[in-house]
Amino acid sequence: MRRFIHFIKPQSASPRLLPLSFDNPRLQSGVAAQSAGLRPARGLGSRRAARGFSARRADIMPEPQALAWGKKRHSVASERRFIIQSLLFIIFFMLVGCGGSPKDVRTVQQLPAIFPDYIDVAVPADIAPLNFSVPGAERVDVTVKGANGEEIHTNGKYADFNIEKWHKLTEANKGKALTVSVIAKIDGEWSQYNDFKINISQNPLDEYGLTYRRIAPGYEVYSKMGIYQRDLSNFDEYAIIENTMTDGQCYNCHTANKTNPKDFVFHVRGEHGATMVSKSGECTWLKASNDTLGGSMVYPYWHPSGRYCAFSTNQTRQGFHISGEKRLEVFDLSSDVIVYDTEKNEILTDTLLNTKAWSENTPSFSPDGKWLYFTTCLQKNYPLEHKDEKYNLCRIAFDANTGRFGEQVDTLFNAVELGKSVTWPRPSYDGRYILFTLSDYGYFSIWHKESDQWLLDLRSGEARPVEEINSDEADSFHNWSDNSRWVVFTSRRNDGLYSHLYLTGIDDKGHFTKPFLLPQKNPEEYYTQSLFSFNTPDFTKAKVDFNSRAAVGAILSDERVPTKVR
Amino acid sequence: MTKEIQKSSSKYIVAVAFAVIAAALYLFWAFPYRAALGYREEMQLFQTTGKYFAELALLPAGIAIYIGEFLTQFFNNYWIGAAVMSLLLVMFGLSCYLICRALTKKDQKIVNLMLSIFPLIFLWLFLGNQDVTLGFVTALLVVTLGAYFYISTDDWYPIAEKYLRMIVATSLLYWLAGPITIVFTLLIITYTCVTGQSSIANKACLVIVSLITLVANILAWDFTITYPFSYQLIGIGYLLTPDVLKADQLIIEALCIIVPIAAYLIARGNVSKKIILPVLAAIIVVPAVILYPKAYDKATYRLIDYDYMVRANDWDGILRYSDAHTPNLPLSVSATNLALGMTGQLDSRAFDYYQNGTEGLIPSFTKEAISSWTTGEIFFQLGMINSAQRFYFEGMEAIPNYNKSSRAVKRLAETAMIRCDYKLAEKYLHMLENTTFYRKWAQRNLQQIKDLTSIAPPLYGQLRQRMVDEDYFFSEGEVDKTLGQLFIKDPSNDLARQYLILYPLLQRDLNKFVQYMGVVAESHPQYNPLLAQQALAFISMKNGQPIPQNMVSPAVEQSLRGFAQAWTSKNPELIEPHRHTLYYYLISNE
Repeated sequence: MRRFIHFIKPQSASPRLLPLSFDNPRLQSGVAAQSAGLRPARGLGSRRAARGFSARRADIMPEPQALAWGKKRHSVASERRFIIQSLLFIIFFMLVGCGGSPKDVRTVQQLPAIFPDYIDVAVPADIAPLNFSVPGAERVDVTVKGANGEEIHTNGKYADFNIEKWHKLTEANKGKALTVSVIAKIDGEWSQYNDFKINISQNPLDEYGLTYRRIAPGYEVYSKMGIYQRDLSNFDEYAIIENTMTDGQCYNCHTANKTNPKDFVFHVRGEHGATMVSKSGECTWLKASNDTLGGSMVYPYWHPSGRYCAFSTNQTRQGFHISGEKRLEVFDLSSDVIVYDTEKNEILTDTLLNTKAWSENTPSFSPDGKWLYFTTCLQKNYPLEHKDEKYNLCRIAFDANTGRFGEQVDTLFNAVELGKSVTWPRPSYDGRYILFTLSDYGYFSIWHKESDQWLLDLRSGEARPVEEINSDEADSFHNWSDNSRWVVFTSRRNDGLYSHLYLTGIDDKGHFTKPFLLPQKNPEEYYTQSLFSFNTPDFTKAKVDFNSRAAVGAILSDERVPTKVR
Repeated sequence: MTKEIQKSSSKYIVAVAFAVIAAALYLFWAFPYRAALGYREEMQLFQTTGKYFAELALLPAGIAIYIGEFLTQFFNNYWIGAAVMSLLLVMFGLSCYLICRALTKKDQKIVNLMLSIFPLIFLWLFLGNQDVTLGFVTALLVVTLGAYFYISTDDWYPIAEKYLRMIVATSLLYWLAGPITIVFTLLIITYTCVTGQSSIANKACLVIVSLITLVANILAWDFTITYPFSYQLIGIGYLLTPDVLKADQLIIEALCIIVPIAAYLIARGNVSKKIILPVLAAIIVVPAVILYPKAYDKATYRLIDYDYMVRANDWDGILRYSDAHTPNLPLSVSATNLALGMTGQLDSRAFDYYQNGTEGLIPSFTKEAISSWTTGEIFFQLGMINSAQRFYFEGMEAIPNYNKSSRAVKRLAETAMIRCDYKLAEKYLHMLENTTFYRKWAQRNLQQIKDLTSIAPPLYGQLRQRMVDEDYFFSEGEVDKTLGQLFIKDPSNDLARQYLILYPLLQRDLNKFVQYMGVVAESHPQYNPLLAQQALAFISMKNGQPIPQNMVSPAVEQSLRGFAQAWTSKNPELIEPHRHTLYYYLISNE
């Protein structure tokens, strides 16, 4: 507490006055609770009464019982057996009789309002069970049938499928649809809803799971946060590193190379700042910023060779909206794109990527490694002109052998012409598309309600908003699976503030399937009670093997490798 | 007969003594330090869900933290909270007494009683640090009670089983109570050493095994939790600041060992009661008297009192409190100004209290919970809902032990409702539905949100209407611009009007004051509060112009002339009576 005492003027000691009057509703509810707190007195009375009752029973017991010991033992044993049997019967009756088997079911000609909305979604066979609940229902009874008649069944507070049985069913129904029948008990009445389908894609996920950062969607201060990995075939989540280990550091920008965690990078912000580059398990802790760059190395993207990693060097500032729908804005006083050579510990720059008048940002490499995609925007006077911060999508050639850049920058998507701004370009690993986020201005799209997913077809050069996955709330950061058949992206569609992860599949024609919320064991409880946003998700080919304890030692040691600019 | 009476009174003396202590502690927490209960309660959001329990149960001492937080939620009502607090403290004293009794095995009730009060006094002093959680108290209670049950039943078991019992008990207690289990281990070692039932070799083995068990538990837990090793040794959840080891904590832990040893030595030494009792009485009283002012730091507790009253919106209480204690910190000054504003007195009485710049009107952001919430409350009452939301959110994120806050989540739900972010409000309200004290409030608001879809009496309509239409970035140095916008948007926003008028005066910017008065006069032509009259008179005198009689009351003119005379005399004694005036503030630069 003494931390927040900033003395303005010496104080004079005076006697304490007691705050006695409170007319706050909170305290009124407290008073109600106080009166409830008086109830134990009656309870004590009841206990006394019970003791009195048993004493009276003892009084009227015939004395000679002690003589008939054997008989008494027999009768006690029978009595005990009777009690146990009765209890078992009652428990059985409670579990089976009133437990929740549907009876007197009425039919409702509508689809159930389930959370998450998994109706008619398409999922990979190796995804975790799509557990769901019917908000407001006391109990649900759900049957999932495969095309060949096989089925799984669950009955409970929410639909909680057995993981093994679920996978058996999905594996047997690849390329087909599962039929889900929901009966829900609401206000004591059972209702049967229309069946719905869950489509099992023929395209495998081919990934172990996801990595992401979990952090509260705050402004400047952050509480518990960390980088985590999630096994997508079940509900297991593991911390890769948490800030509780290092006294509240901030970790961000974790990125693997084409979902392979063999090459891995993340950024540590704050007092013990660093950029950690892990190659085949060997970690290098780089100085968080290089004086000649003018900013930290952020928003990384690996070159497919694993030798290079592109970063931008954003000098980030924040502004907080005084009114309106938006809460905060992120803008850069300057930003350039650089490429870090992990073999030579050199930073590669180029005059075309390091301009004063323009901000270069959010880089990514093409899957063949020959192009570096990035966004660029004419630098304005921020925060005054922050609404004019609009980025186009560009590319420049890159020669991995020499580490040289091309001599011209091509504009791939002119968002400025549309009065919009591009961010987070992510090429599919098959080289066919670039998925990016489009918003009215700026690049920190998660705080932009209007931000949407757009798909650029690199064959035709045409870009389109991906209406089939966009929502009225922010749809922002995204990444592709290694086989380019699945996309994970962040969206605030649930409540407008907390970013959650959605997965969607893409077919040969470039159409996405209805996105589905990352499954959880008890999704309604999980997402209601979680005060975290999921950031910067990516697929991971295998479980990330990262020695977080050694990392903590390295972070706190402050031993950093300086980088040199070529 | 006398002996019988003595014997009979001696029989109940322990119960009576602890009952008296409980009553004293109850009064202590229920009256002068009730705000400290509120502080502890707002630093957590205890939820009655399995998920919440499961998350804590995976930590060493997680169960103690869970029980501590469960009990802390009752601090929402200070009458119950005070009872909980005094009961816990007395139970700790009683457990110390029981250990002393089990170890001495001799009738020395009074000595044991006085000795056991000693750690109780130190725990009470330690609780003066508002960051000590009930998790610590619960953990302490668990290990001391555990030690008592272990010692009192030890005779029942053969030596081989003693090892197993000790290993199981240590591991279980480590899970329940965390590193404070060292108290249990050392008590068991003490007991093993002082009882003469087994051989020295057996005793040595038992001591070694108990220490190894403790270390093994520490190391085993270190692999399962994501906290630094040092945190685990200090105890995660014992304090709101898990990175700080307080000497007081070690002293209490040490006393839990020293006191039973002292009881044992006194019992063996047959020391005369005439000597030992006064000594013990002195040992209890002297540290309590000496350490109390430091433990319950006045300046800190004043801020906690202000925080409590701001949370309760007890504006009259704040003003009474400020009349008794000069507010002189950003939090207390800003709370006083808010209370003045809410009671419509800011534009006349602001300088009755200490003022020092706009920081006392709207403090700048600090990464700390209760300052942020106080400032957030100012924004909330003004109608700066986005900023209120930010400050409440940031305050919650700044809680050092990563807890969430019931107070903040409640305000976040309200700000979301005002902003018409109903889905978000529902999320927060559903969280509050899982609490004991906020459930009804949450359910009421959830129902109101539901009803909004059919009819539309807007929730928190007045505050919603006050929100400014124009969007721009918040700037700490230019809050007066927003105050102006708020006032123009809603001229009935009295708080904004008062803040708008006072802001330039606190900046000593009289030109800006005149300009803002012009803005106010457009909708309130008759508005001419005391501060405005004083400022106008001061400006006139400063510019060598006659004081406008139609706008400045004779009393104000007289007071200004009195001040001018005193000031020009440069006599501190004459100036002193004018210290709490706008004139003095404007001219002195203090």
